[in-house]
Amino acid sequence: MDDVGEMPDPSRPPAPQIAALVDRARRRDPAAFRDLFQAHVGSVHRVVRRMVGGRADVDDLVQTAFVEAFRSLPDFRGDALFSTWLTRIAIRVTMRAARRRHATQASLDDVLEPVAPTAGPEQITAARETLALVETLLAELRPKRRAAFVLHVLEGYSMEEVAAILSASTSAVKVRVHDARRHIERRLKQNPSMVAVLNRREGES
Amino acid sequence: MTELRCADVEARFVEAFDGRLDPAESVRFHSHIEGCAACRERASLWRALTPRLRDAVPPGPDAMATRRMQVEIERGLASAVAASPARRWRLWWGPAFGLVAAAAAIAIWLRVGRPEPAPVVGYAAFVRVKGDARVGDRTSQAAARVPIGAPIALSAGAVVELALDSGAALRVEGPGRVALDGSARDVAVRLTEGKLQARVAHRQANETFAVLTKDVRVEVRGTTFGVAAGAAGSRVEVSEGQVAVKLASGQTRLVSAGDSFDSTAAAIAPAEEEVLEPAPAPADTTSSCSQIARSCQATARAIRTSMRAGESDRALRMISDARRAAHASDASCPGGAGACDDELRYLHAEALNQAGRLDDAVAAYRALDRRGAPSAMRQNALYAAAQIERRQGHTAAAAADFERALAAAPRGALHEDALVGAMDSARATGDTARAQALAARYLEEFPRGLAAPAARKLARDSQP
Repeated sequence: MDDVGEMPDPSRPPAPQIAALVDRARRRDPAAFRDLFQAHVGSVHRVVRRMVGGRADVDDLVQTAFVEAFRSLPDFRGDALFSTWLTRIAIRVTMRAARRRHATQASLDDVLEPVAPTAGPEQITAARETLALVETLLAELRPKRRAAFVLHVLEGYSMEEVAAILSASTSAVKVRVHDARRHIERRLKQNPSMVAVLNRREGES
Repeated sequence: MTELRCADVEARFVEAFDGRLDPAESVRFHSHIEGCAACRERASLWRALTPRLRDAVPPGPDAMATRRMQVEIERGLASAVAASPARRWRLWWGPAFGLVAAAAAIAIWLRVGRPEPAPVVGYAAFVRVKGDARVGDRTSQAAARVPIGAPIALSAGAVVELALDSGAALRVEGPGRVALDGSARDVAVRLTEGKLQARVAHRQANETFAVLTKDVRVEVRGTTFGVAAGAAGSRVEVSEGQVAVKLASGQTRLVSAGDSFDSTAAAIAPAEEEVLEPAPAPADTTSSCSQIARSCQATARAIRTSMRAGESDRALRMISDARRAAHASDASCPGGAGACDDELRYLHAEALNQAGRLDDAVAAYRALDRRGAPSAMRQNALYAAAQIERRQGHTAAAAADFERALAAAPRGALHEDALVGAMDSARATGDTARAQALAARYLEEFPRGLAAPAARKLARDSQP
């Protein structure tokens, strides 16, 4: 089983069970859709959120990704993990949405704007501050670099898997991850306070 | 050390930190690091930084958001219209009663072609289409699948016959409007106007089959019956078995074979919810319907955004505006706007809840159930109502709503939570027998669920 690339998700059923669900979903079993959705919504939501930050339409993008995936299930060949394939679709959906927003609003703010915490100030805990900082750093990256960095460094996919997800060559992915790392290194060097925020040990995020 | 080799080393940071390098690669990685100060420094930085970045996990969707996404996904899947080969099935149209003149079996259909993977569309297919029948803007054709929630509009004299994947069969006579909601296991046939005849067989214990008109809900288990819906009311006739007809007032009438029920004759108490405009008069489906649905979806998104920002008063204002607008356009767009209306009603309940108007929120959640919203939404709404009741100490009301949430969608996303809620509430109200029955059911369905220890304890306490 070629599943080394992925961060373990304790809530997800084991791979053979997922394969059986995919089989049933191909035969249009609504219960299988529901179970596949339940098993993957957490990780898809996380990837999308990391890609677009705390914007309000994260749920909409997640929904769209699942609808597209379920509709194109006949195209899914069992040679990749379902979760990898689903991630590929989720990334495509977020990239497309970013492009559209870019074209219609001509405002970088929406893309680059770091998360505005939705809760009141009393709820901004240290963990939230760390999250806001990380999302700011991610938002500063160009979308293709951000995608490569999020998938490889944060989600733990191998370079080859990221290349497959992004429909890019492995060497292009390596360059994107490298550029992303360099950007973050530069920012941390300029802002020691960021390092302090990141190094603060907190119980939970 | 060449630049290329430094790049190769950097490309292996993640695998190295996660312990996924094979031994030979690991040796090469570390021997480079030992000899290259720049890589050593960067490796040490990223070794510390990577877990920090990974730990900054954004909050995941809560149960309600997850539920909402699921409803949206089901709706999204339903809007794809695609023809696919008919599945293996065999169907008898049995003799009907008064509503339909045909007295003998109408047809037998046999399988056409091998089943192949196809896009998921609904849980039923057209078997026969006579006259002008449209799904949304398209003319419907035999063998095409019926998308969930898509309005089917029949002109006068038109007849469609539908085969459900479960083996049930429907026949609808125009002029009429009908839509298939819910799911294969929780069939909800929404009949706005027209005559419908259903033959339902071989349903599992945990499946439901209901026909909803604007004023009644007909629940079925293994039977043959017909429903006619018009402006004045609905008429239900049963030729085999028995159905339960639920009225907007909450009353239930059982109708057995040979009997009929007429909602215009029955004294129907007015619904408790605020009364909106009556169902729109029949009209031709126009191409602006999808536009209306889209704009309604966009409004719903904007409302959710306000709610997430905690601006429930603003959300409530937007909802009331949107509902007014929806009703103005509803007359020209059957069905499509109705689905969005359910969504707006749901958001209304949520906004009331958020605004702290708890009694109003509970009433709004319950109204969604009564008006026959899609089963997943009803479950969600009843569950939310039950939680409010429980927090307010209204244990009996909470127990009742948890039970209804449980019944609304036996395989819904909140099924397990509703079961636990019902179990706890039954115990709290002192109904030990019911609590123990629910505990046994929980253990059977979720032997390793989070509430299994509590359920086991409840079940054990029943032993003398």
